[in-house]
Amino acid sequence: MLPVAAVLALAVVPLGDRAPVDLDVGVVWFNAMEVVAWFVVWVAGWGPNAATSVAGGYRVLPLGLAYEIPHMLAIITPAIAAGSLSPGAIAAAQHDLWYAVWMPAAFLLYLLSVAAMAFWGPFAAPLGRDLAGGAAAEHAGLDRLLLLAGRWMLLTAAAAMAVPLFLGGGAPPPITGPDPLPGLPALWFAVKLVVVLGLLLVLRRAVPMLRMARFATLAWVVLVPLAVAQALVVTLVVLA
Amino acid sequence: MVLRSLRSPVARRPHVLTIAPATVDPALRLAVEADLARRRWPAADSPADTDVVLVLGVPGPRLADVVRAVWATVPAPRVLTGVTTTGAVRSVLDDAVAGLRGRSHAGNASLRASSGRESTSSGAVAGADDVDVLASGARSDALLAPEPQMADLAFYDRDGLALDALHVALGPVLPHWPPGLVVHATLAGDLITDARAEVLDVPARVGPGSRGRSPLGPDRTRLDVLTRVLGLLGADHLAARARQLRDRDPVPGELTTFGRRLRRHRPLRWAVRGVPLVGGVVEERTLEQRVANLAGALGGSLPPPVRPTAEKAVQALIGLELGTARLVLAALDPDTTLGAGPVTPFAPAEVAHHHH
Amino acid sequence: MIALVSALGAVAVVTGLLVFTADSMARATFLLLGSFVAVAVVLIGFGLGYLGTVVILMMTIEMMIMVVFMVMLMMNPAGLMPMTMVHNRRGSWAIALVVFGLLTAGVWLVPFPVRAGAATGGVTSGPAAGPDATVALGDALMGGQMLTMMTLGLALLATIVGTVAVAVSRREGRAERRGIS
Repeated sequence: MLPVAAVLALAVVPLGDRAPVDLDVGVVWFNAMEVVAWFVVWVAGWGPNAATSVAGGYRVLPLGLAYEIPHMLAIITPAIAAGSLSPGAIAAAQHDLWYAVWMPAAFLLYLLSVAAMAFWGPFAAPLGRDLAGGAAAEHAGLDRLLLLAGRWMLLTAAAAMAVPLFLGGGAPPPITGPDPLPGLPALWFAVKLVVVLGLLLVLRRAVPMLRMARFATLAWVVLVPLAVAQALVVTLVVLA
Repeated sequence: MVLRSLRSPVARRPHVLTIAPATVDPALRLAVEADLARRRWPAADSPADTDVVLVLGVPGPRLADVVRAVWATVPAPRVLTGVTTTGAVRSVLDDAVAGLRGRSHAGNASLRASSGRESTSSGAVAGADDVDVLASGARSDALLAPEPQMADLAFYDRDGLALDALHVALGPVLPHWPPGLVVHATLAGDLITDARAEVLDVPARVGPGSRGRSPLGPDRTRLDVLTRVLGLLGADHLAARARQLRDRDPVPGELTTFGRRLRRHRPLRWAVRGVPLVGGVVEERTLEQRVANLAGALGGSLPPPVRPTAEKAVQALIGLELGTARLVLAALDPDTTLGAGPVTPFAPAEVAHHHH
Repeated sequence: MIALVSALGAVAVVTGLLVFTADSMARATFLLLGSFVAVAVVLIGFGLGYLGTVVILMMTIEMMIMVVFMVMLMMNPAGLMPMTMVHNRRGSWAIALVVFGLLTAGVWLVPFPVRAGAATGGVTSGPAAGPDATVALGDALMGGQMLTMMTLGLALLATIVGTVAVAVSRREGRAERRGIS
């Protein structure tokens, strides 16, 4: 089920210059599929009828609610700037300036939420070692493979979405002038995806696993106002 | 077959679940952990994640029951083995990986394939019948209750809400858990509202014993505690560094450098902030202070850190969320060789749930 | 298209009914979510892509909140004991029948506008011709109240953030220690 959600989410991401499924509300669809992952992890935690795994399932909710609001604001900020909910159109709107440059707060918030939506790195609490693997504690064999592989796929899918939203999609960086590798948007996409995944690895190394109470505090007191401020600035610039 | 082709990479870096009795020789535990780290074999999170079950020392009858229950939930290919002396660690682990590569996919065939010793004297093999009895997923309640009712309410909590309570036994087979300890906890959601300690196979109050002094010496004790706390926090590279320093003889400069690095690590400090340590010594009233003191005293000449009794440490968990409670317990590092204190014995039926 | 919509409608009704036969909160919410998602796909089929997607998004989050709070704190420990989903049967039947009657009457009595070209009365296949269906629906539902609603939404969000901020600064540190009074 988790790989299914990841594939469905990835379906609307333009790999290169066009998406496998070019939905005009791609950003919202992506968001909905990523929330399906919450339900999957919750059910995985609840299903085995064991205390540690259901406690892992509980943690999905504080984590999800804490990251979701800044995350939603972070993904609609480029959508506001581009005037479209389609990832392809958002990528195309960045031909002279990447959104990562002129809305850095939204980009950073999005990077955080990529790790959070895959329950990975600092946000691994629902599958944490302190709960003996949490929601994954009781799953073995194929179930375990699907659950953990789905988590990696979700992480990659979410990281891939950062490329059209903030890094100009399959286009070369604006500073290089003429495209040194014409006609290979997928290559540029892959390079940018690797960069995003590298940033995520740095994040995992720098930050230990966050307790839900701490992260919820941080999210509501710092991240949400930051995301609102970023969205407000972008909206004002666009309207002006 | 897909499974067969997957077997060789699995056998190369198997996930190991170590089970130690409270009376385990710390030198043996450290030797095993060092050897596992040298081989880069990860520690298993839970029985379902396990390829090799490794029993350290000689478990008593209660822990032997637990080993049997855990073994019943480990998926094949799997190996159950034991080690009693420091010198045998390497050969036992070599044999274990050989057992995984061999006929182990046939399930129980490779039970205790490796060591010739009767170290798991407990170790009667868990048969197919046990699996049905011990698997924690069994929903026997549903069969017994003919007519479902609206759920009942339990007690009133701090907000005046009547919540339901869940009674669980935590331990003794959890990652970074004090050896032999079982915490009988009452949970409301993921909050521990009541807790009692029990140490398997150690009579309550065996006397003064080691008086809370670890035989490892001050710095290695501190590094041992820090390894577990950092491991639970998911700060894997810091935990690996702490374990590395613990397992060899570092020059004092390295220790103070590492201690300073921990104390200056802002994300780490932020992650352990805001957790009270009830019943700790005066200068360690919060988890943050405890960790800072453990890190700060590295390489110095201060006396070793205080290790409370299991009973006292478990009392400090009441009112904490499960994950926070795990951190607190790891940081307090209770001395389980002392026993837990007076507790009533448990019916054998409950032993089945001890691995969670 | 009509077959697909009817099938999804049937799925929505059946899973909705199954909610009341399930024996735990977790199963009930799972089925309820299935029902909502079927409705959402019907909406997408009507050409209301945005609304359908948002329904999936919001309902998943809503069901998650509901089930975790129910199982964790209110109804029964960790959802490990079976329980019935039904209480006050007679009252529920009465309310359900009255509401169903009203809605059914509404379906037949309200004069639906007939779109030029595709005069099938109600269900039309394919994306809407003319103006964006989402915009049209929003205008029909909200009309002149749009500004009020948006201000209200913003005020609600500000209230939530403010409440959490105040609660956190008051109870940080103390809350975790005091498990029970």
